[in-house]
Amino acid sequence: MRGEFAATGIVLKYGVYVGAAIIAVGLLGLFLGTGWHEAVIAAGVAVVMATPFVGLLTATEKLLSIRDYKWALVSIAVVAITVAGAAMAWLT
Amino acid sequence: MEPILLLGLILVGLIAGVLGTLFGLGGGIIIIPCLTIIYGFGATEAAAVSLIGIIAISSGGTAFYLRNGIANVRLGLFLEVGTTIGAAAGALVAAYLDDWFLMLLFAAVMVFSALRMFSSAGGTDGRNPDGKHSYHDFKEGTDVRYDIEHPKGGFAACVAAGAVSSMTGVGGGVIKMPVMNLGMKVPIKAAAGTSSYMIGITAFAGSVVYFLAGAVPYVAAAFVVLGAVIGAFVGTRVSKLMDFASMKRYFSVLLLFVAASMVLKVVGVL
Repeated sequence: MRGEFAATGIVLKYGVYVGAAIIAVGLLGLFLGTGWHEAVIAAGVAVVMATPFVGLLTATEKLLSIRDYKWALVSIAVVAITVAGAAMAWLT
Repeated sequence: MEPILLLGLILVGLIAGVLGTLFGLGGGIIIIPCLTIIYGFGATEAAAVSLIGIIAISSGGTAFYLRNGIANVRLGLFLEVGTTIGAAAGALVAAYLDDWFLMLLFAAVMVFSALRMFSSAGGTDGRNPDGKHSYHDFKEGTDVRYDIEHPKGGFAACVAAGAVSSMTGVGGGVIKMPVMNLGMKVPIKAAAGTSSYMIGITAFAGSVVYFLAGAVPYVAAAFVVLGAVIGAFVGTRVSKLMDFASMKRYFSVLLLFVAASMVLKVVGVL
């Protein structure tokens, strides 16, 4: 049985895996004493962090594609509230 | 930091990943105490690392729940609107309240939820053969159908859950699970999957603030994330083999443990 939002699941799964792989490379650089490890680790952490937001966008796209506009609107509202909340917290 | 301590961070992430995935929690109740008590992190640094670990746990676990249609995305989006609004309001209110009051408030919520969960551990699991929603239970090999009851009450409870979780600094899964399972009659596996999906979105909103402010200790976060990814992978596999009654009992015990820890911290024992 394949879920309706399986594509969102794939984004979440591989988004975190890619982020973790980048982090692993950065940590390897840390143990080798390189100068580039901090930027790589930060990039990996950023990828992990962004994963649920990309997943949210994917779910929104799925709802739009099946013309489930009522729930697409709810999803867009969550996107808007999330972005606005982060922006407000950052600015203040 | 000593290599053994760095490896310990992987263990912290791993334990948080397993428990977080099994019980639909974020894992913050494991990560934050470990980082502050064992590693001596400040509250801000611990929260930043915890939120990123929560994302790793939530995303890995949610992928499984979504692939198999267990997580109810529409329900999660609906409740997430309330959770996000509540979280913003809670952050504003928290500035005017004492820490001890907030911690006791959260401990009381957890004790109440644990007692309700435990008392109904062997009771109804929210199944309705004519329900509009469904998921496949791998252990039983059957499709489980259910309805969602009291959506308005659930939304209101999630506004409160968002407020309480932002006031106390712990992920909201510990509240969302009882709300969905006990209040809205969503089967516990579907509630766990939906909660996991919601937690990731909430954690993103919080962690991005720390990231933009440069408040993330990247190396610690990196080790916790690696452990959390492995823990979430293990937790989802174990979840397939457990029945809902035993999950409720384990969850109840975990809630009581955390509640007792918070009370002990308030009175100065921890």
